[in-house]
Amino acid sequence: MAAATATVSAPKQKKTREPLFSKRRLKQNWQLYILILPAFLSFLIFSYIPMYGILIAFKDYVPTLGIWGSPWVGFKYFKQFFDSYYFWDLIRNTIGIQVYGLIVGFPLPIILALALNEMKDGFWKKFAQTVTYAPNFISIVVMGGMLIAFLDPSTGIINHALGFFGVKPIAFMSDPKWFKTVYVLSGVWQGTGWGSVIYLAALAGVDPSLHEAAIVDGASRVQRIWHINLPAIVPTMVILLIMNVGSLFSMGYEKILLLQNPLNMSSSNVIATFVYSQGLINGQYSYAAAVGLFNAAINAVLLISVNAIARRVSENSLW
Amino acid sequence: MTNTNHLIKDTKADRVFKVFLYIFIFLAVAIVVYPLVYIISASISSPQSVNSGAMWFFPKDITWEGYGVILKYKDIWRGYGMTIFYTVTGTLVSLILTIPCAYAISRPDFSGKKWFTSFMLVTMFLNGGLIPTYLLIRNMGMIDTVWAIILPGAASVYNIVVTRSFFQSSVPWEMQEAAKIDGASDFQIFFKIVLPLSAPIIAVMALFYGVGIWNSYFSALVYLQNKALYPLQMVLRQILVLQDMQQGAATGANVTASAAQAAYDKATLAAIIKYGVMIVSSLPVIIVYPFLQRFFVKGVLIGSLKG
Amino acid sequence: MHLSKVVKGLGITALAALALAGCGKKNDSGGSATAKNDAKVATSGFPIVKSKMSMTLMAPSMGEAEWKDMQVLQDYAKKTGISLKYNTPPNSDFGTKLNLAFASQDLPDIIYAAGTANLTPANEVTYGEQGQLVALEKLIPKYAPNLNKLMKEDPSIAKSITTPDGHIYSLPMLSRGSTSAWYIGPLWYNGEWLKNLGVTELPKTADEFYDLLKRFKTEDPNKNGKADEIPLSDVKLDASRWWLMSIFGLLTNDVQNNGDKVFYTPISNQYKEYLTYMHKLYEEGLLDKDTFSQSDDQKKAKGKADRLGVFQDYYSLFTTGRSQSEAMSDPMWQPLTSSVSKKAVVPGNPRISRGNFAITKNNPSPAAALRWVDYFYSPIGAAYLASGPEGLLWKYETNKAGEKVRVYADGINSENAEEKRSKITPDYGLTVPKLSGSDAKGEAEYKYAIRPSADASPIDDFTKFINSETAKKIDPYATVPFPLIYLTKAEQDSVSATANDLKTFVTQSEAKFITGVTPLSDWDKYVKTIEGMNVKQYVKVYQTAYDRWKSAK
Repeated sequence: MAAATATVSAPKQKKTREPLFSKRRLKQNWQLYILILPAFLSFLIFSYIPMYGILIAFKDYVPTLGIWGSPWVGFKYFKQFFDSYYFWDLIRNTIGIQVYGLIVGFPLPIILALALNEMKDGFWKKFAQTVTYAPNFISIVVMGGMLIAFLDPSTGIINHALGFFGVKPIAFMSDPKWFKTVYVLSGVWQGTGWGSVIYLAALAGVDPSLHEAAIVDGASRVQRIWHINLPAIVPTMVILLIMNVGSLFSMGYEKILLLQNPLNMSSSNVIATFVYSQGLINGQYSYAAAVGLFNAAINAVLLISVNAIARRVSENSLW
Repeated sequence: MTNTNHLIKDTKADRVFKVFLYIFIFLAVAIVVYPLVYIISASISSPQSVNSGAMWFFPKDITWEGYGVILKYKDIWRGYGMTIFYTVTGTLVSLILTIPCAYAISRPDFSGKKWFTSFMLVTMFLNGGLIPTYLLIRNMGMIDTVWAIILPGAASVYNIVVTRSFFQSSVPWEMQEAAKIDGASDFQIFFKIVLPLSAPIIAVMALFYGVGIWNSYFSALVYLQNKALYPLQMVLRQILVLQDMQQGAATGANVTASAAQAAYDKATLAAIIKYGVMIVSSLPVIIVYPFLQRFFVKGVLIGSLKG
Repeated sequence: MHLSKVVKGLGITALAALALAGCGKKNDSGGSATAKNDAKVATSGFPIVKSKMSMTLMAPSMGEAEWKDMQVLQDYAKKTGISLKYNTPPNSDFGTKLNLAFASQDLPDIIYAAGTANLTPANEVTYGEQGQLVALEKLIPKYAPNLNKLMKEDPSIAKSITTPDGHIYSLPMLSRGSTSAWYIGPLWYNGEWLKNLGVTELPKTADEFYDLLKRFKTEDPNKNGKADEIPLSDVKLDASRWWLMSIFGLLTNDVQNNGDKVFYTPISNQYKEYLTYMHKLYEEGLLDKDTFSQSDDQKKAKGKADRLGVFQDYYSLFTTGRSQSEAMSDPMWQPLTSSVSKKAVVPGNPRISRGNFAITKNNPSPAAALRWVDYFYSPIGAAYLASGPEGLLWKYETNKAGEKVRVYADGINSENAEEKRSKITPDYGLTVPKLSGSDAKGEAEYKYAIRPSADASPIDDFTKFINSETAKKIDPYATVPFPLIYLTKAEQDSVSATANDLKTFVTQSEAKFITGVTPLSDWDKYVKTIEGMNVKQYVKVYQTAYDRWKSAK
């Protein structure tokens, strides 16, 4: 670690360390370099080349002048965002929805995968699997339409059911209190089965001889799940948790836009929808870029901290 | 561990466990199934009974009009063809980018591992945004071609990291090391030892990518002009989004009778085919899944070890 | 240490990006687009150009047909000598595509039927100043004689389409005719319910309106024995707000001019009255509880189930699903007075919708493009655009009076005419640049209308009904809320953030006050918040813009 820090502060000391692409290393690993080459090129071309567009956030983007030629405005658009009436609303909502989603949505696929893994192979297992993943294929456009229909205060099926138990109709879609729940639970409905696929794949790799040995030792099923299956998927869990926490600030806007209305705006207006409406609807490219960049900065800080924590508590981390 | 009664006790505990297990699975399945049944029933019920809430489980006022219209809706079927093409080609490209790369960075002895991981991770946070990306695609001459749909975004950092994690946890490094000592090259290890063990992750990745492509429309929206190249979701979205457009059209300060009429007709049509379209558009993916599912069967690892 | 690596990685690739990005900057230096080919453009008659010319045109598509297959456009291309290549994204995505075209400089030669939702006044000013759009005012007298004539007759047209820098960057659709004063589709009463309750006189005041809604709620006007009536419904109030606010003398929920004084309506006392009234309706179940959450088809389903008493739509039959002859018993809503508005008013349409035809700097001949569109600003040209040349939809026949009139072509009737029309012309469901309708009264207004037979009247009964309702209930009360103005770039910069915040906050608060989530006792707090958003500056800017509009000749 010390060596790396030194590299940054005093590049001349580099000679003391073997360079990244030294002849020896390239020779030793060249075939592995070939293996990453396609992905490397893909990221280089489609992600890195357009990155100069970040400059838009610091400029007053005039298309005829191009990104380079547009005048610099420094942090003008960042300031405009921080001063905006909606700044804190946006932050609160973004974090609120995502954390809620993580708490509810993260453990469920694990539980489901462990449960499915315990079922005997055969029709019912296949059936249960096939059914639980199905919602994932429903596109968000369809999902939005379904939610609006199901949750309608007077005609929706959910409120019919609540009425059966004597509960008064709830205006799910127009009550800001309910927005986060609707958003998160519908996401859970859609994603749990699918989320379990990745854990099932990991569970498929568990060596059956471990279970055989444990049975001989008299371990109960719960014990075997706890001591054999769970540890087998812990690396996957940690990675996924890191990715999820790291992407707290990178939520998509499409589903929210579909569910948004003026009444629930106070809890449904998030950074992503804000960037979308400023950039693509209002044509305020520079403002949108500034808000997006601010978002990315928080994102980076988050992921880097979570990764550091993950490394400390377990051996698994992203890098 | 030396409990002599363990046999009897464990069976009892296991039985309780089993009951809970099946209740849990049953509930999960029921929660998922109901809305799907609702959509199916709604697709063959009259729009009137669906919107008024009269239809709630079994179809009511059964009508096949919706499917009839869908069958004759050329755009849907053309979009279907394009989506299948995008999904198959796109998934293939994505796998070619993902699997080898993920394997390389899973190797503890790969010197470029950390550097490349960082290289990828940066792209999760920073992107130039729509305009520079669009300019790039245009300068590469890919506007209005299928490549604009397939190539950008073909590699997902998320999926590469997940795949890497699979290689690390499920393909024993000792096995590869042994092969290396026996003189196998990295290519040989990858193609001869690792790939045959990777069926589960390849299946999962094919699904992840495939479904993503199947449901996406944004790049089509941005990069395509020729409607013959539109994927199904673009068509679907038009049918479902135009539902709300009626309202938008009526809100515009300058509406003509023909605009109002057009919007009204669209909304009526959409109400008829909406649920049918949801089903038709999701069906193929749901049909394909069970074929991939068999890869998850336990023992892939043992099987290949023996072989 | 890991962060440092990330940064290093970024450094390397940023270099690569810099090197490669150079190719992104193409020869986009075009500024003043004075056309080179204009000399060859005929100033009258067809063809417009002698040697064939090709242009690209971008327009929103309604999805009915491919534009290249539309017979009216094909015929017009032959007529003019200008062939067009079409780029027609779906209507719902057009705004995104257009913004992208501007931002990436991937511009078509002509932007057609975009409308102010997509080619906003702010865009016109911005892109005009940047030289992306061609200024048209110098070309109009020579190459757009029809439009020029209209502009001479009505000076408000030029005032409304000229940006502060003195240029005209886009041409409007000009609406004339019996219903052109409609600001938006009207509110309609359920005529059957009125009959069942024996109501013969429509309410004229806010209180009478309230009483009638109350009766709708309690007296089972749909005679099904269930209390399932919803007296008043809408989707998010987006469409009926304008009529309901007018009860309290307000024409918009933004800036409005009272005489020459500009004021911001959502903090006015009248607006508070509006909210109080609407809250009362909501509380007592007279305003649909689903107003802020339902979708349009859910509202329509209620209409079809005969559960709605008052609702907004272009024609009442679009909500009720009834026939035209039945819809003639649904009376149009009569403007109301209230304690704060003694004289009934309703918002009126400026009859100009901007942003519908713009020529970009890429255009090889702006003059030819202008000639191309100008034909549609003549009554005969507009009719040509709407229903094509003879033989497609209609043919000439001579009636008893010896006049040559248009009747449906073989195989076409009033039932399938619109569907056929949607396939042959872009003038279906879009606001296209043209002169729409005529100010002539009576049958003369329908000079080019297609009749079922040579001796039939060009006006059907339903149209007559709509026209007479409009003449009685809208025309006498209609007032344009605020003239069509442009803000300068500097003015835009100073209010754009405020405008966004205000718009969101006002619609949000409106819903909250009406549903009672926020009690009306919080009114002062609400006003304070709005004042905190710098509304003073906002009003000042609009006052300046108004004065500029007023003093323009």
